[in-house]
Amino acid sequence: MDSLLRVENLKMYYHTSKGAVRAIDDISFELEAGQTIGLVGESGCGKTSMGCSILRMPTPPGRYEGGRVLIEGRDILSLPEAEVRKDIRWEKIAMVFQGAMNCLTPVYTIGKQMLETLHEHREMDDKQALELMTEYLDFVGLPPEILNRYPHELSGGMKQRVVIATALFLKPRVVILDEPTTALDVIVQAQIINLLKKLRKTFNLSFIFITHDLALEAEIADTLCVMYAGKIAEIGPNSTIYGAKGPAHPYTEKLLQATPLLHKKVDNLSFIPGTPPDLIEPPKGCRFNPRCPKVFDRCYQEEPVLTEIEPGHKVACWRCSK
Amino acid sequence: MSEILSDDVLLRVEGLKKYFQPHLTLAQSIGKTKKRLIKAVDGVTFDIRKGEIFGLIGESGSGKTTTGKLVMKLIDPTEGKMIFDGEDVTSLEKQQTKLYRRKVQMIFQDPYASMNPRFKIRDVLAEPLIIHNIRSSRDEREAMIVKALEEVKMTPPQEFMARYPHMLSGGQRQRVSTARTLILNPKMLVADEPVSMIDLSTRAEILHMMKEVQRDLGLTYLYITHDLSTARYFTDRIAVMYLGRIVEMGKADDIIDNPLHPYTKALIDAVPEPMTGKVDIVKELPISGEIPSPANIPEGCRFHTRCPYAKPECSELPEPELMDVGGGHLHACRRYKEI
Repeated sequence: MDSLLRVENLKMYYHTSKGAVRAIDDISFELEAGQTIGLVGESGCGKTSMGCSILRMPTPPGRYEGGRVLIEGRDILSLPEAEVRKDIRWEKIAMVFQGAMNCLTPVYTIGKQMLETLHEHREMDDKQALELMTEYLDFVGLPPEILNRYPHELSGGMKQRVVIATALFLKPRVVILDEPTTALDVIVQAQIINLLKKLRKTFNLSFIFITHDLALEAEIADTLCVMYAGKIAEIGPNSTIYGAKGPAHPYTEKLLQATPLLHKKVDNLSFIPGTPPDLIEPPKGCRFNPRCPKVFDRCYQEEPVLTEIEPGHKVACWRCSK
Repeated sequence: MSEILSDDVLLRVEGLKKYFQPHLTLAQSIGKTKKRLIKAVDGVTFDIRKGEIFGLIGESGSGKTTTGKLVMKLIDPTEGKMIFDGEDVTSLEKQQTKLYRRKVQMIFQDPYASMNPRFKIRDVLAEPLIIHNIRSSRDEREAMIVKALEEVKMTPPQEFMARYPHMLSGGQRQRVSTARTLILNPKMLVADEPVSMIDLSTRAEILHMMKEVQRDLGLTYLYITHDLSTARYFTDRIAVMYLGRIVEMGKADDIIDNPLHPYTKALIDAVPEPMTGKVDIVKELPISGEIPSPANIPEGCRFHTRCPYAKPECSELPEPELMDVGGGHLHACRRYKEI
């Protein structure tokens, strides 16, 4: 059986006047139906680039430099654009963009904006469309009156629900959620996470959940994928990384220590000194070596390979692979 | 109310209110529709002691930023009183306001937008000195800038002074923002979500730096945030705001380990924690819906529309005032014993 979504050795570089920025540099992972993979990392580590690359729409001047993205066994990178539009984008993979709630056009009603997506993909009359829209608004817990409202009349949480409903219309298998709760309050954030969990169950959806918040990821991701400087540093199951065993990569370890805990009083939170490296000329050897507390000779010479240290848990660190 | 303050209170805010006029269409302003004031801050009272970090917590729309602006005197209150360092500062002349702002400085949320991109860091830091006519000679100014940068651990200062804001990371910019406030030797800093736009890996570093500066210089902070986790780490005392009023106030540890008001409880329950075994569980949320509009505040206890424990009395009786349960822990819920 092939996985629902498989990313194989994907490379996507931004070609700038100063040189190629290696935003995604040889990344592979798989996603099964009904599963959620969480992409975490600091800003600039390639999380959002990854999301856009899976939809086959890298932001210019980004270009694919190799690898494959397979959805249900079909490589979407080699398909013509017309076919991606017709069969893949929004039909198989949908995305909720970062700050999506601010992406709604202020001059159209919610109904008109939702209708646009539908008409682009499906032949249906207005009555059918209205029924479908009402049904999906109901799934995300909104009344049908919303259709006649303008975005400024809705709260942030409501707008986010509208965007999620629009992403689910065409029954995609995979939904990429890029920081879906960042601008929302904690209570609304918890409501949206609950909603996503319910939707995942109802539609057997797979999520790619992108955020920088490790605590939030613990609530929703089955598998956690930690990215650093365009590469995967560690990928492992939720139970290992947040469980008693803890993460294996020093970067994940440090990130977890930097997350403030509500129910634990600490005098000093730890932090990671320095900033993420320049991706035009990344450091030789391991990209994390200038900031790593456990660095040794080998880290400066050879780049670590992502190695499986136990079933389903892969780490790219010389300390972990014997 | 007593004019005399105990020595350790730096800022006293008494019954502070700020109402905004809503924007009306022509038809509305001619017609007989009743004007609904937007009650952003609706009777807030608190003391900030010298050398303390005081946290103001709430959702968006709770009035925490408006309170910060009132404290900064960027806007004038509709009602209420502010006493700073023994002086009534509620209504000041223009010149006095300028002097007040030398003592109370602000760190803004967005480190990218709060600096002129065409200014070098040297100019960014020199600007407050020019505005407040301090130290006319160039050498003296230079020395003050170097000192401020050293205080926030931007070393070597000379190197950073020649840079432009775009050459710095978010964390470094927030350090410069802090240095810019320190250069005037303030007594109090108002920090409105200073780390919400900074990466998690450096967030702790900035908070740590701010805490160090506070200890070294004996500063007082008003820290405004929606993030309870950083508030617990960073603050000494917390006030939780809901729809323009404080619903609970006390020591940070007391509030988080032993919350009394149902709203505080809900806020705490909603915070995600990095622990395994929660992926398949749909979290029980004690409260639903979103914060009502401040133009239409519910009668009685303003939280009753979302409160899971609300009884008819909560909406019928007048709004509960803050009650003390000892140890400086105050709350505004008349049914706290039952819940």
